[in-house]
Amino acid sequence: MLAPALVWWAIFLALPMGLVLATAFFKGGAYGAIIYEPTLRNLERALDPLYVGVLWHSVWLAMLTTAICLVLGYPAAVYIATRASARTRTLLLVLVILPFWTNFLIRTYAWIVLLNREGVVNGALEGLGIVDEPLSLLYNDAAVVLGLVYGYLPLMILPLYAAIERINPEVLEAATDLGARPLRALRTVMLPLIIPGIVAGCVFVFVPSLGNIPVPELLGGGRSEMIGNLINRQFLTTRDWPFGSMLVLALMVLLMALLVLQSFVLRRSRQVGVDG
Amino acid sequence: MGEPRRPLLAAYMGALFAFLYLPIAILVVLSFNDSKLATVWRGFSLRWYEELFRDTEVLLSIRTTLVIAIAATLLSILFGTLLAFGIERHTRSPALENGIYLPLLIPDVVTGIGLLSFFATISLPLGTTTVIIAHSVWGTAFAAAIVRTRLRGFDRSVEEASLDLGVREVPTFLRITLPAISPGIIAAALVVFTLSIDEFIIAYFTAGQTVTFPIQVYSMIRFGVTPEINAVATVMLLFSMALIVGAYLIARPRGPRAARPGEGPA
Amino acid sequence: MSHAVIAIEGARKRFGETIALDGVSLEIAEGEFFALLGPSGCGKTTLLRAIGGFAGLDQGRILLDGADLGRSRPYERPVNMMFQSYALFPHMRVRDNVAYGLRAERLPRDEIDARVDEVLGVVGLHDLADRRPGQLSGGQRQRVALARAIVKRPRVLLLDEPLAALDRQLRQEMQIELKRLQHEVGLTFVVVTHDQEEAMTMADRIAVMRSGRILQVATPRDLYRHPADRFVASFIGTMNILDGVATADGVRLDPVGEVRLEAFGAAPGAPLAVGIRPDDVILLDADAPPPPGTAFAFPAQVETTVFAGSQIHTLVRDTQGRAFAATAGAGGEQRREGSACVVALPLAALVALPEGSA
Ligand SMILES: Nc1ncnc2c1ncn2[C@@H]1O[C@H](COP(=O)(O)OP(=O)(O)OP(=O)(O)O)[C@@H](O)[C@H]1O
Ligand SMILES: [Mg+2]
Repeated sequence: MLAPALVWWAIFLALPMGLVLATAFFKGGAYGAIIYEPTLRNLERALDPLYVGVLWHSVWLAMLTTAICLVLGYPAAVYIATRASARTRTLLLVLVILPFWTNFLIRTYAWIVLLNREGVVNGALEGLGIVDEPLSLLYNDAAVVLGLVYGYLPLMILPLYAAIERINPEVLEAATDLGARPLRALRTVMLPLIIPGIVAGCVFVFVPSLGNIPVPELLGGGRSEMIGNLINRQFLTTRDWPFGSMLVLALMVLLMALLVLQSFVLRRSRQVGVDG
Repeated sequence: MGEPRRPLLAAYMGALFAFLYLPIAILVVLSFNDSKLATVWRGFSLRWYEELFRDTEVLLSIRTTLVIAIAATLLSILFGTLLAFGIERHTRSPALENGIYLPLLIPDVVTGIGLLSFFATISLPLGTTTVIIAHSVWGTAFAAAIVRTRLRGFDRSVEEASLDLGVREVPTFLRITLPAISPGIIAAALVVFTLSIDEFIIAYFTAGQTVTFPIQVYSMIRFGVTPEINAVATVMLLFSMALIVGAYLIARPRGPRAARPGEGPA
Repeated sequence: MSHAVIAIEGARKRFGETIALDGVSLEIAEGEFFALLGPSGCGKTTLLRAIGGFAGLDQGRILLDGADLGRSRPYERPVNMMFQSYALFPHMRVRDNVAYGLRAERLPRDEIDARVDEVLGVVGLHDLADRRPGQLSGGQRQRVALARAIVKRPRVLLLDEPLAALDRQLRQEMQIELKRLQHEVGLTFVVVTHDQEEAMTMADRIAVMRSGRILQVATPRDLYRHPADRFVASFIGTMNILDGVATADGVRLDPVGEVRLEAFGAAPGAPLAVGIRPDDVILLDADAPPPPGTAFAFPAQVETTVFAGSQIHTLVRDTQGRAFAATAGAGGEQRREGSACVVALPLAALVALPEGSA
C-alpha cells in the first residue's frame, strides 16, 4: 500500500532533487547548455556577497512576515476559540478562510490597486488634502511583507485556533486561581500547551514566504528582491541552470538548517520544563 | 463555562476582518466602475464582466486549471489514501510517519525547479500532464496527512465486528471502512482541489506554453492594471461564497459545543 | 461557631433569561467543612466561581475575613479552587503542578520544595511525583488537583464536585479521605455536590440550594430531622409526605383526623404537608391498637417488602392509594406481601412541611 505513493515520490520528488543537487556542480554553457564537468564555480559564485545578501534579505523578510502573522493571528485565534457556540466559531473560521479562496495573485493585485501612485489610498489621501504628491507606497520591503502577511495570515490562525480550542478552559483558570498573573499564565501554561500549533503556523507561513516569487515581484518591483526571483531569473531569463540549481540548493540547505534548529529548540523547551 | 466578554478583543477582530476584506471589497466595487482608473468613479457598468466573458484566453485558462485540479486531486487521493492506510496499519516507522510531511516543507520554487530540470532531462514535453504530476506530488502528502487523522480516530473493532459477522475483507473495506473515513477523503479532496486551482509557482515552471488560470492572471497583472481582473475576483468570491454556504447548509453544526469532559492525556 | 471566613450578602447573578443566583446570603465559619447541595443547574458552580473571582456578581458582595473582595482577580484572592475537571497542567509533572502556585508567589526554592514534598506526602503521591497527568488514574489526578490547591494554604478551599468523576467505590473512600485531610490541614472547605449522601457524609453544615436560592442551612442531622420545607425534605433522604390543610394550631389530614403541631407559620386553611421518615413509620397487625403517642393510624395493605441485610424496607398502600415507605431493623418481622396492616405515625416524628418559597 505504501508502494505507489513512495514510487511516485521517488520518481517525481527524489530524482528531481538529486538532479538539482547534481546540476549545481556542473558548468553552465552558452544558450542554457549544461556542460557535464564537475566544478565548484557555482558555489563560489553563490557565496558572493551580492547573492548571500539576497538570501539573507529573503530570510529576514520571511521571518518578519512570520512574526507579524503570529502577533496578529494569536489574538484572533484566542477570540474564535473562546466563543461558546460552535456555530459562531465555525462562522468566524469560515470568514477567516474565505479570502483565501480568491486567487492568491488577485489578492496580491488588490494591494497594487490600493497602493500604487494612482491607487485608492493615494487618491483618498490627496482628496482629503493630506498629501499633495502621491506617496510611493509600493516597491519596498514593507509592501512585500504586507503582501505576504495578507496572503498567509489564515495559515497561521488555523493551527493556532486548533491548538487553543483543544485546551480545557479550566486549565487556564486554574493557573489564575493559583496566583499566576495574566502574563505568567500565558508564558507558563498557554504557550507551552499551544507550541505545536505555533510551530505548525510558523512553518506554514515561513516556507511559502521564503520561496515566494509573485509577491516580491509585483509588490517589491525588483527593488525588494527575494531568492525566488533570483532563481526564477537563472532558469527562465539568464538560462544558467547550474547556477540556478546552486541557488535552489542554498535555499534548501538554509531551510533545513532552520527546521532542524527549530525542532531542537522545541525539544529543549520541552525538556527543561516550563518554570524554574 | 462562561464566554468571556472581551470588548477589546472583539474590536480587534473587527479590525482584522476589515484588513482581510477591504482590499477584496474594493476590487468588487471597482469591477462595476465604468472607468479604468481606480480613483475615478464614472458610474455603474457591467462592461468588465462583458469583456471577461468574451475573453477566450481567460476562459480557456480556467478550463485548463479545472482539468489539472481534477486530475491532480484524483491522483493525490488515490496515492494519499493508500499511503495513509499503509502508515497507519502496516508500519511503525516514525521516519516514514514524519516523512510524509516532507513534500509540504519544500518551497514551491524548489519543487518547480526540480521538476522542470527533471522533465527537461527526460525530454518530457511541458504541458497539462506535467502540471498534473507536479501538483500530485504535494497533493499526495496533503491527502495522506488528512486521511490519516481520520483513520486514527476510527475504531477498528467496527471492522472486526464486520469480519466476525461473516463479511469478507474487501466488502468490509467498501461497506464499513470507506464510508467511515469518507469525510476525511472528501476534506482532503477539497483541500487539494482548492490549492491546485490557486497554485502558481510550480505551474509557472512546469506548464511550458500551457496557460493555467493563475498564470493568466499573473500575465494580466504584469501587463498593467486592468479592471477585468476585478471582475474575475468578484466572480471567484461569489463562487466560493456560494460553495461555502452550500457546504454550511449541508453540514450544519449542531448546538453549542459539548462540555469538555475531564482533561485528556498530554 | 467561630468567626465567618466568607460572608456572602445578597448575591444575584443572571445569564440572559436564566437567574443563576437569586439573592444568596451565607456565612461560612473558619475551619468548617461546608457543602453546597442542590440539583443540577441550581447555581452551585456559579456561586463557587463568584467566590473564586472567575465571574462577577450582578448584585451583592462577598466578604473574606470581613473585607469586600470586590472585583479582585482570582490571582489576588487567598482562595483556591479544585476544578471539577481537575484542570491539571498536562505538560507539567505532578511535582511542577503542585509547585505552580508557590512559584507564582515567588517563594524561595527550598520552601517550595519542602512544602511540595509535605503535601505530596499528605495525599500519598510521593512515588508519582515525576509523572505527568496523562499517566495517572482518575483517583490519582484528583489527589494532584487537591494537593495543588491545598499547598497554597488558602483561607478557603473551593471544591466543585471533587468526586464526581470517580467510580462509586473510590468516591466513598475519598469522602472519608477528604474529611480526614480537611482535619489534618485545618483549612476551610466549601464543597459543591449534587449527591445528598456525599454532603451528609462529609459536611459539618450543608446549604440546600434550588433555583438560585438557599432553602436551608443546617447540620446534616438537623436537615434530616427538621427539613425546612417540602423540597428539602424530599431531597435529603426519603420522606413520606402527606398533603393536608393547616388549622389554627396544627394540621388536618382528610379523612384521618387532626393533630396539634408546633408553630410553623402557615395560615389556617392553607395547604400544608406533613412528612415522616420511613424509619419512624410503625406497621402493626390489622387488629392491633396503636401505641401511645400515635398521631394518626389507618389501615393499609403491604405491597412489597425487601430484606436488605441490616434493614427491612416495606412499601404499603392505604385505602386512598397513597404509598408509604417504612423501614424497620432486621430484628422486626417481615410482613407478607398482600397482607393487611395498620400504619401508625407517631406525633413526635411528624414534620410540618410548608410549600417553600421556591
Ligand atoms: N456562562 C453561562 N451562560 C449562560 N447560562 C449559564 C452560564 N453559566 C451558568 N448558566 C446557567 O445558570 C444556571 C446555574 O448554573 P450552574 O453552573 O451554577 O449550576 P450548577 O448548580 O453548578 O449545576 P450542575 O450541578 O449541573 O453543575 C444554569 O441554569 C445554567 O444553565
Ligand atoms: Mg456545576
